[in-house]
Amino acid sequence: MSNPTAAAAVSSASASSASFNIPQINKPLKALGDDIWTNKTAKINAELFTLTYGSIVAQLCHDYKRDFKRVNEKLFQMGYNIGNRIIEDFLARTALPRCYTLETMGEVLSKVAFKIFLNITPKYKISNNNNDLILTLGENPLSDFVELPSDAMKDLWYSNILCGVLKGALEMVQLDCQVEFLSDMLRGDSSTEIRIFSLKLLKDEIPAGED
Amino acid sequence: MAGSIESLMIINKSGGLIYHKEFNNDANSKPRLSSNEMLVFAGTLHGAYTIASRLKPKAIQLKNDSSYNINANTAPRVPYVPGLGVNQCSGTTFKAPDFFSESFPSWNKTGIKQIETDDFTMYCYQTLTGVKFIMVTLPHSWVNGLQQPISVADNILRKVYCLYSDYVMKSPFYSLEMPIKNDIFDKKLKSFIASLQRDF
Repeated sequence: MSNPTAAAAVSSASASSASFNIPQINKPLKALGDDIWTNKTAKINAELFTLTYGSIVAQLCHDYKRDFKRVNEKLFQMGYNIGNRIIEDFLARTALPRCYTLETMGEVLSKVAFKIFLNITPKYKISNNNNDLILTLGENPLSDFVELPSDAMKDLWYSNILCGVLKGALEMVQLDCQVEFLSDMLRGDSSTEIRIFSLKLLKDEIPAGED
Repeated sequence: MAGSIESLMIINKSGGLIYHKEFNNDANSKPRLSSNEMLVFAGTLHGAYTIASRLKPKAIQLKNDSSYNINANTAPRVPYVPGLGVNQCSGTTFKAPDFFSESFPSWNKTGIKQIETDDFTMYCYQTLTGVKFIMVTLPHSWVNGLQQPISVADNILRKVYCLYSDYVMKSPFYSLEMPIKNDIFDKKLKSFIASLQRDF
């Protein structure tokens, strides 16, 4: 966004670290994400993006007469529809193979997906007996310049669109899951956390030919 | 030149034909197959692909563990073929000069990649979401000195996928899984196919 990183050139040098029989031509995921972000992706102005999103949320709050639960649902639904489509963009850009562990999924989401679409790399951790993935957003371009009015503090998940995007995108690669916000700095919490849980790989729906 | 690409199809994950374009036909010549025949063909190909993916010999099944690690680099990789439709990214969300510039793993490991006859060759590229991109070309033996035609085809079809992700998926008027009627996509695809410098 406003401060694109320029780490791709540095990190590609360490690409050939692991020693497999087949020559290592994969980049580590971080270098891959950085490279795609820096060299392969057209950018838009971050402030314009933030303000556009802000006006969508404000309009929804108005339309739903400040019923913030319904605003959350609507944002989730909008995100879901975006996720259904943005996954093709993600795959066309990265051509990454399927993730079989929560660990790789967290890594791909954080270092590649969030990186190339929002230029952030959330921290991820696995909790609840290896069942949940928790993404901690250090910064969130959606909520720059935002202050919630006091009546919205309790119920509105301002960036709930992100949960919908994750749900919609994962569903298209045959991963059923639920996604929710655990906390948001806008509400005065100490961090912004998204939780992905009830993950299930829909084996029957994986397209033939993949394995 | 680019003339060797005869037609291009996109088949959705349930086997429905959602896009079909022929490139070498005169405006007034009859299409090779009627639109109904095309639909049947797409459905049949989808079925054949699904069944063929289960023909894997036992010896290979035992040797390979299907759950490979994303970092372990066991997935078969498609080399990047430079010079195919370069500088076609203007106007897209991809940054020039090329859509991608590195080798990439193939998602299509046990499905049909290529069907060959004396008169044509057909290539198939399937994405992780189950969309198939099919390309029919002149028989590759006609093309001088072409190494690894499947890799070239995969490179071309991945770029078509890039255009699809940009112009079809991001069109607010497109509903998922439905036939693609999109002028900008048509135009972009045409100029991309025309720009392919290497004979194929």
